[in-house]
Order: sequence, then C-alpha cells, then structure tokens
Amino acid sequence: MITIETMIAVGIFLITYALIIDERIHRSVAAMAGAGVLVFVGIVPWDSVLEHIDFGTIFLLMGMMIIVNVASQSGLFEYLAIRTAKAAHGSPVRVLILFALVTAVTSAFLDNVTTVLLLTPMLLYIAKVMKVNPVPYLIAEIMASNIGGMATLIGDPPNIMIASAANLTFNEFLFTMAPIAAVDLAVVLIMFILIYGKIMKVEPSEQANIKKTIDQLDENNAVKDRKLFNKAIATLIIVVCLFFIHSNIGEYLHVILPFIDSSMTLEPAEVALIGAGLILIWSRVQPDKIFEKIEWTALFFFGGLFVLVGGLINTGVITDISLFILNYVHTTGEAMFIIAWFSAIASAIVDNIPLTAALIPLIQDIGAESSTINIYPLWWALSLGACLGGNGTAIAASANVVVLGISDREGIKITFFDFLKIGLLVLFVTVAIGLGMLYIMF
Amino acid sequence: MGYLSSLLNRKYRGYGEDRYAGIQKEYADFLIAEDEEVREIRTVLFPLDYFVRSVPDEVYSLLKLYKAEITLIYVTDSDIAGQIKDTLGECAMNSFLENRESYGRELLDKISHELSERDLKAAARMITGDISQTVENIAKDYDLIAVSKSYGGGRCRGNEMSPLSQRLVHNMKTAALIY
Repeated sequence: MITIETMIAVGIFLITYALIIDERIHRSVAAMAGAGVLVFVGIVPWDSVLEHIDFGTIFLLMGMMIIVNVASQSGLFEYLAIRTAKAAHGSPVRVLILFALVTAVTSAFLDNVTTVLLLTPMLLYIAKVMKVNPVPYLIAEIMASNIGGMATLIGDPPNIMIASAANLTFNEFLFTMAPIAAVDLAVVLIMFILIYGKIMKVEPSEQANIKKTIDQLDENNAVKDRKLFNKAIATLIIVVCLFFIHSNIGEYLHVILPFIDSSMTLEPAEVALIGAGLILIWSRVQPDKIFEKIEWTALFFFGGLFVLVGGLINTGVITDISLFILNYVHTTGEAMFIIAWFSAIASAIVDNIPLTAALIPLIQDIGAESSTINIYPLWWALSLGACLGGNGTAIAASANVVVLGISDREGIKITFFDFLKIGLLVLFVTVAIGLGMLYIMF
Repeated sequence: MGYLSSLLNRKYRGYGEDRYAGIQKEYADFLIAEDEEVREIRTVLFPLDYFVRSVPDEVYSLLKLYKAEITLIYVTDSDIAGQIKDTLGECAMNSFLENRESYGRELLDKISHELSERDLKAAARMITGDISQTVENIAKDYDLIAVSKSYGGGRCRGNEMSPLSQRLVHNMKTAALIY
C-alpha cells in the first residue's frame, strides 16, 4: 500500500533529480532544497539527518580537495602537462596516447575536474601547434578521465561512496577495477586511432618543427614554488602509500611502535584528512586561501543527496524496489548484469553521483532480502556502470561538461550529438569488456 | 538542440568556468603565444644592389648561428635601364647594364668570399628587374630576408632607411633582418 509519505518522498526525489539534470537551479541548491522539504514534512526527522549523511565520503572528498588545491598552487600539474607534451616528440598519435595515459593515471588519484581543467589548455595548445583537429584529443581526454577514475577508490565520487557504504579497501578497488580500467583504456585508444587516425597525421618535416616548438617550453617555468612543488609531490606519495596500507596499517605500525594495536585500521577519509593536515602544516600555505577553494557546493550537494535517498529508505521505497527486483533476479550474475547496465545507461542521463547515491541502499537491501545473491560483486558492477556510464553523453560526468565547456569557449564545436555518437560506442564496448572481466573474477 | 547546448553551458558554469579562467592566466605565463614563437630559419635571402657596398660582421655572425642556406641575389634595376634607353639610346643602356652587372659580380664574389671565410656557403644569382617586386616575389619562399638600409638607394640625413628597404620590411610577411 502506497502511503502519502511514500508519494511525497518519491515526488520530491524525482523533482529534485529532474532539477539536478536540468541545472537551471544549481544542483547543490536543488539537493539541499529537496532535503529541506523532506526534513520539514518529517519524512526524514531532524534527529536522523546526520545518520543518513555519509561523512566518510564528504571528509574524503574534502581532504583530497585540500591536497589538490595546495599541490596545484605549486604548478605541479602544468609541469606534468609540459613534460607529457615534450615526451610525445611532436607525433599526434603519441600525444593522444600519452595525454590519455597521464589523464587516466592522474584521474585515478585526484579529482577528474581538476585533472581535465589543468591538462586541457596544454592539449589545446599542442593541437594548435600540430595544426590538427583538437576534437579527438579532447574526447579521448574525457574518456581517459572517466576510465581512469574508475581504477581506484579515490578516483571518482561514485567509488568513494561505494567504498564508504560497503567498507571496501583501496587495494580491493585497485586489484579489481584497475585491470579493467587498463584494458578499457587500451581498447578505447585503439578505437580512437582507428576512427580518427586519418586526421591525426602530420608530415615528418612538420613533426620536427612541432617538436622544436614544444621543446621551447620550459617545464621549470611552470613551477611557481620549488619547495612547495617538492612538498606536494612528497605528500601525494605519502597519501597514496597510506591508501595502500590503510586497511592493515596497524600491522606495520605495530612492528615499529609495539604499543599500537596490530588490528588498527584507517578509514580512507582519515587518510585524506591526514594528508590534508600534513600538507597544510608542511607547506605553510595560508589555510584560509585553501579553504576558500574547497568545493563547498559539491559537499553540500552530497549532503543533500544522502538526505534525499534517506527519505526513500525511511518510507520503504528502496525495500519495495529491491523486493520487486528480486522477483525477477535470482542469481548474482543476473544482478551484476542488471546493476552494471542499468547504472551505465542511467548514469549517461542522470549525473552518476545522484544515481550511485540511490543505488547503494538498493544493493544493501538486495543483500538483506536475498539469500542467493552475493552483493560483493554487485558493488563492482555498480562502480563499473556508474564510472563508465559517464562516457555516454556530454552531461553524464563532470569531466565531460568541463572539457566541452572549455572547447566551446575556445571556438571548438563539439555538439551533444557529436559526443553522443562516440560516447555511446565507448560506453557499450567498455562496459561489456568490464562486465566480462568481472564475471571472470567472480 | 538549443536546449542541450544551453544545458551544457549551465552545467559548465557550475563546474569550472571561473577556475578555468584562472588556469588560463597561469598557462599564459609560460605557453608561447603564436607571435612569440621562434621560427626556425632554414633559408635566408640576401638581396644586393648597386647601393649596398658592404655587409657588417655582426650580420655574418648572426647568419652563422642559423646555419641556414643563403641565397645572394644582385638585382639590376630594369626601370633605370629603361629610362636610359629612352633618353640616351640602347647603346647607353647596354653600357649601363654591363657596368652594373660587372659591379654586381664583384659584389657577389666579395660577399660569397666573406661568407665562405666564416664557413657559410651561399648560392649567387644575377637578376634584372623591378628591384622591389622581384625581391618581394622571391622572398616568399624564404624564412628570412637580410636587407641593407641602403637597398634601392635614397638614404639621406634624417631618413636612416632607404624608401625601398622600408617598403620591403613593411609589405613582406617574411621575417626581416635590417643592417
């Protein structure tokens, strides 16, 4: 029986998601307003608001934002972009491959928007120097960012949310999703070379000129503060190392400091906040300048989403949907198939963050209601679909919006449908490969 | 279509438009703008005429850095030859051309020798024609043109460059070295 609370919760949820897609009202405002209405009508009581908000996700994002903001002040990313450009030796295909690799690896550890914001100007510059059409390079950068983000726990917000909800470790993510990301990226690059290879050619004599022009760039000019640059690299290495051992850090610390319990663990959010604290203390950068750059709108967006989904949980909507699904889905394989493809296609329409927020409690409920379905592989199917679904359309992920927005400002036209044609192809190929690999693993 | 592009714009404004403006400024500090690019000089055109008497050492030193192919051309002014023919007859014109070409050969030999002393090789050509148009046409195929301030004649006090060398520098897209 559908109650009035259920109808209100579903109505507010759908209206808010429509507003998030449309973005006529800022998505953070839409999410907070929807959450506010749910609290106001008592569907999510004020006392339980904090229970619904996943602070693991919010603090992990906040910590990484602080680290990235301090690191970007040093010129680290521009340095990386120039080194990558030089390594290509003026070859258009090598530019495509190297920039895709650097984008993917950087996106795997840092947020996708910062990665593409900092690499796109260099990519546009090189395309101009090479006198080649920049479109394949920009689209490849988007795809690489979304695929690379899938590889680690901290690479993409859906992964952070999934890891926090399912208590998955950094290494579990790395060993499960990174091989899929590597294979998918290789396949996508081959596809791009086959599709766009003809327009990515320059004469050998021109290639020498391009190399000379690029070689004139001095990566050391990009480094604004050498000490900060070194400290940023050191902090990033420490943070990545801590992520590798966060789930069994006690075993290592116990050897050096016997009074520490060997079963001690660190949450990923703790690692990010330790890294943020370390870089702020070490660099002596004015914290107010860094805190100003934290994307508070994104954090409030997450907060609002968690409350919105909390409304569906409180009214039993999530349980009803999971029971409905369980009428038709009986095995883990079937559930993986549905979760992966549904999340991929839906992520291409809705932003993958609100989609993941809604699917996480659904998977938890499937686990609670079914004795035959193992939900562990379903988390990976969700990560696969949510991250790779971002390649489907121009609005499916933040990296897409940023790169296409920049290209529009630079007078390079990539229409929604131009992107859709290659985006859907990449989506179907990469999800199919990824799902196949997940079937082999589980 | 209109809705989708405005949707994309709205989303971009929310995600990173302001940040990108800041990043662009930072990149502008170390990316070389198109007009700042140092173009490679592989071919140099060296136009000479009756009014060019010598080439300073500094020019040779600079040319040595480029390691470029140098082409010397001596242009005899066909307009003046035509005027002499009209006023003094064909014989006088032929004598004029003979004198100028003889001077031209000597000048080309002298400059070729000075270049070879500095391990620079140059091809030399004698041309009779419009001293401005001929150079402008040929210079299109070269990366640099080295023009004397005296080229074409007409230098005077208060006018450091001859009208013709000024015209060449002003009209041509090829990079120019003035000496």
